Amino acid sequence: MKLLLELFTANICSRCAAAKSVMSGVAEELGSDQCELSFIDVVKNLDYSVERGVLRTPALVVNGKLMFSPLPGRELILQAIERELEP
Amino acid sequence: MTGPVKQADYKIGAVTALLGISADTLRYYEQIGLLPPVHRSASGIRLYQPKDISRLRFIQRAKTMNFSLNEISRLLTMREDPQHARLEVRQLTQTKLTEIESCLRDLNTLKNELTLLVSLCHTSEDGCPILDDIQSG
Repeated sequence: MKLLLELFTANICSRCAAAKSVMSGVAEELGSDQCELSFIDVVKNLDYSVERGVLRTPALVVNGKLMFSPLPGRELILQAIERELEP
Repeated sequence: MTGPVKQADYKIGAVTALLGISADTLRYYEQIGLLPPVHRSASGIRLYQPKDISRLRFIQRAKTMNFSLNEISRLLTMREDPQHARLEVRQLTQTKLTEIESCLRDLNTLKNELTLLVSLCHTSEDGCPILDDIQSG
């Protein structure tokens, strides 16, 4: 099952640039056959962000479900995503 | 009804101050039966009791939901004696409950949107996206 990873960010959010970098690394490590990463600007997509339960940035949504907000370190993110990939 | 002034009784001015309902409106509610005849002192002064205050608070809440006075009147009969309320009143209560639940969902979405915007403001050094969002419509 390929996971849809959505990182919700905002231009003015001080921690979002680092979160983008971490998530890009995580997606690269998992490979494009395992996951697809997209970045969502919350200010431009307020309705969608709130629908997904995002109340602050950065936030990670996996397959439509809010997983982290704010994001923990890279290892914890990887572990959580790998659990989602388990059959 | 007459009787001694008890500490828990409220004169009309006190009710006005407490609930923000005008004296005219309080008298009108009594006149149309939204409030049962209010207890009076020996000199004829209206003395509102805690159960009246509770009923008035219910009326105020129902009015914020835009329920009509007629609907509120029927809901109050349910409130007084739910076990013996007529079927029509029970149905109205269920309908109003559904309306409130829908309103709560909308309010919760609005609350979440504002929470997100406020959280962005807190992380912003250059400006506030709440204002940008409002201005862009």
